[in-house]
Amino acid sequence: MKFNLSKSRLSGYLQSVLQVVPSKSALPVLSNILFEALEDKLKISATDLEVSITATFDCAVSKKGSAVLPARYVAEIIRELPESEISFDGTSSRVEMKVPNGSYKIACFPADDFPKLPMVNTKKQINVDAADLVSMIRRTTFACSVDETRPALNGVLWSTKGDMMSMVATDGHRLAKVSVENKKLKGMSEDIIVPPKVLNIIPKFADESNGEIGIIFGENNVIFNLGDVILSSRLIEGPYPNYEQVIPAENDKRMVISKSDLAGAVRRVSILSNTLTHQVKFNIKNNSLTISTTNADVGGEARETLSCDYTGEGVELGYNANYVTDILAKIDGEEVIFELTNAISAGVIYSPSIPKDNFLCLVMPLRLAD
Amino acid sequence: MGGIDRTKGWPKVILHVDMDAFFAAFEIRNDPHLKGKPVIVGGDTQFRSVVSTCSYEARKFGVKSGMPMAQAKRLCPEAIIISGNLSGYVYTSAKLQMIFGNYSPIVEPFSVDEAFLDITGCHRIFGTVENLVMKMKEDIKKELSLTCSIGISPNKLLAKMASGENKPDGMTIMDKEDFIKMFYHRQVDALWGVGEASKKALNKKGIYTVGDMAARDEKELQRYFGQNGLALSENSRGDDPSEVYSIDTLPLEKSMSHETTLEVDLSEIDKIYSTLLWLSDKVARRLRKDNFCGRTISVKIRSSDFKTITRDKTLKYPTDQCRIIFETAKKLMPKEYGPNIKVRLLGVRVSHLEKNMDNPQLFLINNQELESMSKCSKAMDEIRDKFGESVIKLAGAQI
Repeated sequence: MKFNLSKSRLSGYLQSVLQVVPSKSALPVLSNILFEALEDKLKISATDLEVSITATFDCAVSKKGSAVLPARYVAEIIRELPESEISFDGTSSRVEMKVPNGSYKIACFPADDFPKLPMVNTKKQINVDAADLVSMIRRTTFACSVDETRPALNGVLWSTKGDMMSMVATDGHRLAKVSVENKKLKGMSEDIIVPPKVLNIIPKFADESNGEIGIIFGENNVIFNLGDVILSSRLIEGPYPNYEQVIPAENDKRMVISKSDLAGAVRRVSILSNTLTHQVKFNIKNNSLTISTTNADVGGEARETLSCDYTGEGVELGYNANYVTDILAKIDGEEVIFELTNAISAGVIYSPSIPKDNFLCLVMPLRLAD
Repeated sequence: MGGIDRTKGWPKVILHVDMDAFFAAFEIRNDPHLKGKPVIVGGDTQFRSVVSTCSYEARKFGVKSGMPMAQAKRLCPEAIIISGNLSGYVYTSAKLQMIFGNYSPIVEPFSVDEAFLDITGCHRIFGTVENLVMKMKEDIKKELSLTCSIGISPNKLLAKMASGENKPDGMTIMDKEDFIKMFYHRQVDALWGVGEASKKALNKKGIYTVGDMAARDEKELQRYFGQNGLALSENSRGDDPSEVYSIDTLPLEKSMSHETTLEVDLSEIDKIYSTLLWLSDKVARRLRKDNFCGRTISVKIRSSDFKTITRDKTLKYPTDQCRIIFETAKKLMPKEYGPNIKVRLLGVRVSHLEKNMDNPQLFLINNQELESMSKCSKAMDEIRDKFGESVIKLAGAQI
C-alpha cells in the first residue's frame, strides 16, 4: 500500500470516521481504522458493530493494498502535523507515514480481523431532501429513551407511507413527532427503528443547501449514502409501542406564549428545583402563567409570572423543567402553543408557524404533591 | 483497661459490638450437649466449603473463619460440624438490632453479628459509658443467652480493633494512645482492612508493623497504593473520619452484595449463569426489603487458580429488579470464563444505592415490562415474607 495526500484532505475525512470509533471496546480491532488504497482512491472505514462509516475520496495511489491502523495514534499524529504532503507506505503489518521532517511508523492490526462492512446496493436507494431529513433528526432524537430495559424506545421510529415520511421518538414521558411529504417514496411502506447515534452523525455531513441523501432500507440495517461518506447502522428490533393512541385528539385548554420568555423563565426557576425531579409548577389563569418551584433541600423558592394568551378555566400542572426546555429548543418561531386538558394528561406543544400534523411534541406532567 | 472517665473529652463515643463465635454460640445454646466441645459451623459438609465460624474450643486447634472445611477437619478431627441454620441466625440478628436500638438511635449493622453504635451523649442516661455497655451486655445475655465483646473508642476503626482484644465476653476501652501502645509493634495485618495481599505489598516496601506504616509519609503510601494508601496511612495512626450510619441514612456509596464459593469449579456457562441468577435474586430481594435501588452492577469472579477480577456497569436508571441485575451481570461476564477458565467463586454487587421513592413523573406510554417485573417481584416477596426464602425460586436459578 502506497499513497500520497495532503494533511488537510485526510484530516477532514479522518475526523468524520473517528466519530464512530468506540472509546472503549471489548474487541480491540474496533479501536482501529481500516485504510484501503484502491485505484486512485483511498477508502477509510470504522465501525462499532452498530454503526459503520466509510469515506471514499480521490487520492494519488501508487500501490494498492490495505492496512488497519490504530485510530487514536493516527488521528493525533495527523492533527499535530503542520499542513504538508504525507506519504503512506507499508504492508498489512506495519505502515510508515513520511512527513517533510521525518517519519512515523506504526504496527498494524491484521486486516482480516476487521469486521466486514455492509455492501451498498444503490438499486434499492430512495432519495430524500437533505434539509428535510436533517430537520426531522434535529427535532426527534432528543426524546429517545436511554433506559436499557426498553430497547425499542432507544431508537427513532421512522415510517414511510404513501407520500409521507415521519419520525417519532419517545422515552415514555415525552414524545416528538415530525412528518414531511416526499414524492419520491414510490409508495414505499416501511417502519424501522433507527438508533439515534447514526442519525446524529448525518447532519455533520449533509449538504443541506442543495443536497439529497440516498437511503437504502435493508432487512436488519439502514444505509445512508452521503456521496463521499456512507453510513450504515443496524436497526433496533420492534415492536414500537402504539404511540398514536397517546396523542390527545382534543385538548380544551390552549395557551399561546412567547417561546423565548417561557424558555428563559423555566430555565431560571428550575435552578432552585429538586435535583432529581426538576419539578416546576405551571399555574395558568386569566392571560398569565406563573412558573414556580420550591426546594426544601436548599431552602429555596422561585417564582416568575409571564403574560400569555389564555382565557380558559385556571389550571395547575407540574413539569420536569428539562423536558419543557428540551422541547422549546426544537420549536421554530417566536411563539409556542400549549394544548392542555388537566394536571394528569399529556400536554401538546407545537409552533403556530408549523401545522400540528407536521411537528408536535407531547409532555406528561409530574404529579403535584397535595 | 482504664477508668470510665477516659471517654470524657472524646468528640464521639463509638461502640463496636461483636458477637462471640456467633453461629457456633447459637448452636451450642440450642443444643447444650455441644457445650465445651469443638464446634464448627460451615457450608454443607458433603461438599467443599469454608468455616463460617467455630467455637473457642475449636479455635485452640488452629481452626479459623474462612478456612477450607477439609483443612479444619484435618486440624481438629473430633470437631462437630454443623451446616448452620440461616433463618435462625437472621432472626437472632434482628432481635439484637432491637436491643441496640434501646441504647442509641444511630446503629449501623455491619454484618449479621456485628454492629457499630454511636452512643455520643446517650451514656448520660446510664451514668457512664461503662454502665451502658454492661447493661446492654446483660440484656443480650438475658434475652438471647449469647455473649458479645465490645470495643469503646472515639472512632469506628479503634472500636472495631478494641472489640477483638478481650474475647469472649469482653469490654475494651481504647483511645489513640492505647492503640499506639498495643498495635504499633504488631504485624501490619493486625490493622483492620489489611489482608494477605496488602500485607505482601506493604512488606515489599519494607513496612512490616503498624508502627512502620505510621512512620511513613502519607504521600509515599499514596504513591504506592493510590487513594487506598492515604486511608491506610490515616488508619495506621489510629484515625478514621468515617461516621456511623443508621440504615435510614446510609450514604450512597454503600452497596449490597452476595457471593458464593461454588461446590465444584464451573466450566459450563449455563451453570455459571444460573448461579448469577440465584445471586442476583438474593441481592434484589435485599434491596427491595430495605427499600433501596442501585445504579451500578458488579460481578466478582474468582478462577480455579484463585485469580479474582471484578467488572461493573452503571445503569441509566437505578433498579431493584433481579432480571435487570442478572441481565447486566451476564453481559459483564467475560467470555473466556467457563469454557477456558474454570470459575471457583461468583459474586454480584449492587452499589450507588438510593432510597426507592415514588416517582411523580407520569407516563405517556407505560413501561409494561418493568411493571410486570415489579409486580412479579412483589408477589414473590410477599410469599417469601410469609413462608420463608426457599419456598419459591426463579426457574433456572441454582446453587
